[in-house]
Amino acid sequence: MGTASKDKAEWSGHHHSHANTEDFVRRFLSERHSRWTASFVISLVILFALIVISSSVGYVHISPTDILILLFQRIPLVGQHLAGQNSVSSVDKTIFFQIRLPRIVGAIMVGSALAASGTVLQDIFSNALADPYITGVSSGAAFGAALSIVLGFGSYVFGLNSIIAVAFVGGILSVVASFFVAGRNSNSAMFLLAGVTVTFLNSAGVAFLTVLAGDRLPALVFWLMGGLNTVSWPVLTPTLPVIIFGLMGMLYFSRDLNALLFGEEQAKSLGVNTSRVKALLVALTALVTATSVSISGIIGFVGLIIPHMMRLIVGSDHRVLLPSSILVGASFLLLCDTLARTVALPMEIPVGVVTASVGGPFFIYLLRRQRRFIGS
Amino acid sequence: MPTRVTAIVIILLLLIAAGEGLAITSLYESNINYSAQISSLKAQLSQLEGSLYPMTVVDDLNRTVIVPHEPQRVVSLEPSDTQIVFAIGEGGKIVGATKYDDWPTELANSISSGKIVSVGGILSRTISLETVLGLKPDLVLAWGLGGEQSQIIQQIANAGIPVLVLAPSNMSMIYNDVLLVGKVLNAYQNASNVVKDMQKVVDYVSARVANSPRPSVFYEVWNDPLITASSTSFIGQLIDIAGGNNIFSNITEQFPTVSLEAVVSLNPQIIIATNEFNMTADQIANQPGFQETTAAKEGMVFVLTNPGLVEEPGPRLVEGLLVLARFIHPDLFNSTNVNIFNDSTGEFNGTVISQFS
Repeated sequence: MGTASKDKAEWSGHHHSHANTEDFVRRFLSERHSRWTASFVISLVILFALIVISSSVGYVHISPTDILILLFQRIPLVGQHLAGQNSVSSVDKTIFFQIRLPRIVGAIMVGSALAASGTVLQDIFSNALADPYITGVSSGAAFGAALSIVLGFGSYVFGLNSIIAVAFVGGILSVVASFFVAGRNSNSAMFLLAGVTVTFLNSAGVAFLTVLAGDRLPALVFWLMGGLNTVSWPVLTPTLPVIIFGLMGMLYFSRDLNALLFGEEQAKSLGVNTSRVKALLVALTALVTATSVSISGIIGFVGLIIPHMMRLIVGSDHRVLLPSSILVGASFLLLCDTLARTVALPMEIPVGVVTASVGGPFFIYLLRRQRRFIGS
Repeated sequence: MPTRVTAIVIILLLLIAAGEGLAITSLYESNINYSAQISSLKAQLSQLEGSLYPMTVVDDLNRTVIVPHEPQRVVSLEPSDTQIVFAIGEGGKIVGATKYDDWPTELANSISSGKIVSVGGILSRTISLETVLGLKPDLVLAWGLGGEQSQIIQQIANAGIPVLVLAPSNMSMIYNDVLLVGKVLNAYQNASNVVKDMQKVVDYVSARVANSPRPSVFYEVWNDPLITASSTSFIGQLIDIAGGNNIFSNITEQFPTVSLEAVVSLNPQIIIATNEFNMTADQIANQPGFQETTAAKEGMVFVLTNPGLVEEPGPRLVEGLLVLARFIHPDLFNSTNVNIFNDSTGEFNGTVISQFS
């Protein structure tokens, strides 16, 4: 825990009184910890276990062995040997493959996208309160969705539900608008203010549209509530590759993110083109966040708290922090969504209620433990 | 002595006979005074009616409402409340309604001609308080379920205007609300006739389905998230009366968000949705998982093209009941044995009152 707390202190400090900061930075960037491997393995095992548990529970119970057999049956060659090995009825198979599995994949995708975006944005803006929505992307997506619902655009664009497509475009346009409002070569504070301004404008637009909505008001209200209730394969097919591409892109910039931790000057001296890297990273977070919001609406908490949790647990080296955030973000939203759809069966509760009530107490616990370690 | 008693009795009898005779002759003689008598009776009656007000009633939220005089200018903040007022023949008193009001046609016409003013939507923040107060209503009818109107109810009541809040969640509450509005608007007789008509339709449908098997029904209020109407809601009660078995009968919440997996697993024989989320019966039947249900396989997925009949808890609910009964028991309620449906659309056609009274 010692290293983690030191990292945390460095992360929040940003002013270094080291006589030879550069030496420290180089040492930090080249250091490798054996426990990184351990944290990856643990995160992966947790995620895999959650996938099996989540596949198994719900209105109908399917045993974990049946789940594994069902999944392996889908694999060519191997599947032939497993034919007729399970006792799952055809209705339960449909429930698993068409309802439960896409929802699980959706939760994993959205959770990892939000957690990764939050991590990246908190670090490039050096702002602990930054979350994936701070660039105006969610409000833009909401405004796009509201427009599409109220004006009743044609129902399908590129085989996608028009609401999803227009929400995505609205999210991306809002981030572009934030960039323009902030101007070239602006600092983080300017960009954050621009994001907040764009968010306010979008919210005003959504509020205005609720007045105009008329008979479409319920559709608008339900969209704004967010949730993974009806995620299906047709929604995931075009959105999944976008999120995977965005996450890979962010992972590619892990080292540059590490350099940015020590301030722009320091990063530049290490040969990082800071403004270019920052712009690219903001674009990648916008891409995955806009996609997530179009799939699930706005789900709070994950993108703000998971990055902080992971910094407290694994430290702030992005080569480990970013993949850990992705895996734990995925596990966290999967856990929350599984609870949301199972604790009140046959009813469902909003996933936002679960993310806050499950994640909140755990985060407070971590924070208090950490404070004890830093030893005030 | 006995002679004196006899004399008194005889005199008394004579007096009574004379009085009777006089009274009878005066009745025969006073044909010309009939109208005068009637007008005097009318005066007495209006005096009696005047004494009805100020009237103190308790509304569905247990609020005590004092109505100072017979209301002449009524603003309704909920379409089903408006429908009650029109059904009891007092529609002429409505001066303000919501933009969602579309029944009866005469109301829609009055709104477009400006005779009835639109005061906005049905939520506190979409209703214009200034418009409501500017109409100088002496009664406002509001909506209590869900609590969305609690803020505006408070504001109107604070302005000294009586607000009657209706929040019916089952048929008997709807009957009570019709009678309550009738009482407040001094049209109790009409209101009780409306209730009797409604009960006639309910009795007719109940009797007709009494000996038939009850198919399982899923009622889809909304598709994303998936919201249904449980048996505790008035919609659930209509499904019960129409001879269906709600697959979500044991949930206490009236309009719960339910698990898609549960719907598929409970395998409804009939799915009834509304056109409010813009999906056709085919699209609903082909949603992931839905294609496994008996309803989808046997073409028993229906979309209500006039959902107000089922989802607005007013006097038209019995028309909605007939539409549901037709979906749930097509063999018992086809157009040959119940001549009240439009054959091409399958929708309810005409008014219940004329068919069942």
